[in-house]
Amino acid sequence: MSDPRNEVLRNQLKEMIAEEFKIPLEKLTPDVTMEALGIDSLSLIDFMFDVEDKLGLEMPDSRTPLVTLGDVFAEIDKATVKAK
Amino acid sequence: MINSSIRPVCVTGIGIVSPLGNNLNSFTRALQSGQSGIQVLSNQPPSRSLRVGGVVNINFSDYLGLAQISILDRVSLLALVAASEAVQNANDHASSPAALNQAGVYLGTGIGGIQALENAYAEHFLRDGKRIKPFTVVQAMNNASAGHIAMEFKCHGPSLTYSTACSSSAMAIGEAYRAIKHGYIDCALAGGTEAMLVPGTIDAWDALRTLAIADADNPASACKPFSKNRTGLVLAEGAAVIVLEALDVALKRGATIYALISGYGSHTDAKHLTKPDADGQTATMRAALREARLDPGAIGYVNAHGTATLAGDVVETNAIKQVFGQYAHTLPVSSTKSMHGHLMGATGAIEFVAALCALRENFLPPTINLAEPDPACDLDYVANTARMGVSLLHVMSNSFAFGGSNACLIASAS
Repeated sequence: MSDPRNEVLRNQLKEMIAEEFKIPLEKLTPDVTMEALGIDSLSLIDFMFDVEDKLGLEMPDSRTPLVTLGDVFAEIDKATVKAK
Repeated sequence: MINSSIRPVCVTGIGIVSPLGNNLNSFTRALQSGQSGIQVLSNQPPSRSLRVGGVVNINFSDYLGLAQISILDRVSLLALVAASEAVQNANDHASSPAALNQAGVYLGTGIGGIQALENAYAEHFLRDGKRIKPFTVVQAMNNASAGHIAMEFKCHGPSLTYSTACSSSAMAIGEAYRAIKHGYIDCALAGGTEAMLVPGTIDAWDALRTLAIADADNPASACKPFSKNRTGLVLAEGAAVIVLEALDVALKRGATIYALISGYGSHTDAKHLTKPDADGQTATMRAALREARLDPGAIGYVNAHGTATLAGDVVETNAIKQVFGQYAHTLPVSSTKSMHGHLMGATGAIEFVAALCALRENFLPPTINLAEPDPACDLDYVANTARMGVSLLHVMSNSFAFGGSNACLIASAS
């Protein structure tokens, strides 16, 4: 959690969510559910693909349900930098 | 609730998104003016000849929300726009709205969300194969459009998708008609949608050697049904949806009645997968006439399947002669595909709507691009110019499909 790289990525992720789904940044707390943000599961997966592309990351092939924003942060934490 | 008596069925709403305009009014005016909706395609795949198609020019954000636009395949977007107009139409001037809550959705499509599938294949085969969009399956599946219509209008009746190639949406309308007629439901949204103007699919059609060869100096005239110099069909996209209701229910809520549906024939050639069969087509038209309890002489206009293929137009001409006998030579028959192209799974619906427009406004839509008829095609095809001011009581629409799945619909003045 204290890894500075993670903090940077989380902030970038929040900004991307805010822009893509038109949600105020202050609502993007770790415990808020994606459902409460009005983001359905398919839209989220689609969005995560864009995140991978834009941030140059590769997420693990995971089946963990992404219920809260904290779950999404955790996925980002596990991501590796994509080989060029 | 199943009502064992047989109930008259009527059309109370019509919605259309087509190469001839994106609402009923512009579509009707285009039919009357003999306009062509065929144009050169912008995404020319490498091929031997110029590619043309019946393209829907539309800005979806004028009709739908961003959330829908970003996650639906074009085929479902077209269907939603057409369904919206049909529902709005059904409620205009009525004292109470159509009871959509228990309505069925009966939709035809030939190939569903093929754009999503082609995009996915391009990712898989041309790039790293790991970037296929998570929406691919739900965009591509054939019943996506019916599902979206049901969700949009909260229709909890049966939601059925028919995929019988070129007759898909005629089948959908016919089956919806019977479900109401026999009391299974009171109301249905029925029609068809297709959005197949994508390179791989066009190439697949081209490989069948059935696509028209367009004249470079006049590409809009590429589709020439019944003409001596016809070269094949022109692919097109679009959607047409109608609201069907039991007549008593529609009258009770003060709805405008566009027409009655009076007959439906569904018959299979069971001979050859692609070769049209005059006997099968004859049986289909006769089945529709039987259900409508009409003599052939009562039909005032036939909207032909008329694809402009070399074989198809002659076979249909012969089938019409078998059904109508001597009357075939004076019965007006036209192929509106000459104007809007071949919408495949949606073509039965758009052509039935063309027949409904003719019935309601008492005109005969033309077969355009018909300078010199094929000697083997010797009926009155309403060549080139619409005939206004006629009087129509009953009209027929033919849809004959690959797979030998044929459908014929008859509508009558209300």
